Amino acid sequence: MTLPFAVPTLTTARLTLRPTREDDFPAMLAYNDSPRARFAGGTRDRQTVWRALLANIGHWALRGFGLYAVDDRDGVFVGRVGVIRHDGWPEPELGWHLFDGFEGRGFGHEAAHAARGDYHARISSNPVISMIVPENARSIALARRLRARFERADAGEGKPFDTPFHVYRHPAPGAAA
Amino acid sequence: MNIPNLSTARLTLRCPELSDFEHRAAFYASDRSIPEGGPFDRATAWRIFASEVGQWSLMGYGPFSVDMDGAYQGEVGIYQPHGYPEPELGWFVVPEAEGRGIAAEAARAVMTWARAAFGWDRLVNYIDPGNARSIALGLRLGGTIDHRLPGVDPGDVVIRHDLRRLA
Repeated sequence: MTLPFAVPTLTTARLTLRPTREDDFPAMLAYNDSPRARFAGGTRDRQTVWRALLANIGHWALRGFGLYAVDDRDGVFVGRVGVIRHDGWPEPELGWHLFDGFEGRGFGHEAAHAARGDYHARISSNPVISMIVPENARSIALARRLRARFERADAGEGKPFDTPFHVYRHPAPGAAA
Repeated sequence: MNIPNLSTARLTLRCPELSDFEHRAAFYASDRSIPEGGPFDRATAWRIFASEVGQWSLMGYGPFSVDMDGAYQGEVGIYQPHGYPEPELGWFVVPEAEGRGIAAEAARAVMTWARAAFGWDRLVNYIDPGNARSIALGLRLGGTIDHRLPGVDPGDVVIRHDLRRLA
């Protein structure tokens, strides 16, 4: 059976951005259970993590874009990157998270740059945002490396997170050399 | 091949799309969703809806949206969130569609499709004991309450449908 939607596979110098698979679940669980998830919704139970895996596939079916799973050259699943717009989110967001041990190599930049370009090529030329909690210095640094600029502080008020966040605006396609 | 379109005398069953979500969000916001653990806020309703659509990719089965004369009536399909002992035949109709045999007609089509597509011998419903309408529908479809089968939540009524009757 094929589906009424297709998730592209994107290739960069060192990485492959591909559709989510069932066997991605253990790595997602491990990430969820680690302190690294504190900026990405916090630790959730197993049922909720599984639902999130499925919901991101459903997001692709419903919207035509979403999170990619990112593999390194050896096929090791290193994190997830993509443009997401869950219901209630103000705008499409370029989001990313790398699993423990894969930070500091530029993977986040390389993958996010590819996902952003793919979104603009296939879906929309409107600049995307990244929503980042102000304490997440590493993600803010990555947003800046991607040439996103601080736009505004949002009080949150439960949407989409329970905590205040900052909105970074990415450059329009073409300006993002 | 795509997610199949199933046709019955009155209904078309098709892949869910984004605009269908409004109906599910309204359901989850209402007291009608209490037997399913609700009410839920919109963000949670979205995660549930999107995850069910996402089932198609990993499992090859999932929810169908049900139309009659081009108008959305509800959703019937095969659901298996984490922790479900086996795939569940499930249904939801908008309030205006209740009492018209729509869920039953769609559910029969889904059972026939599941038998043909996967060769399964049975499908089950997991129903909150307070959900008399759903229990009645499960029995009207020819299902039998099976106390030996595990449910999802304590007290769940488990109704077993023998798909071999359909072959």
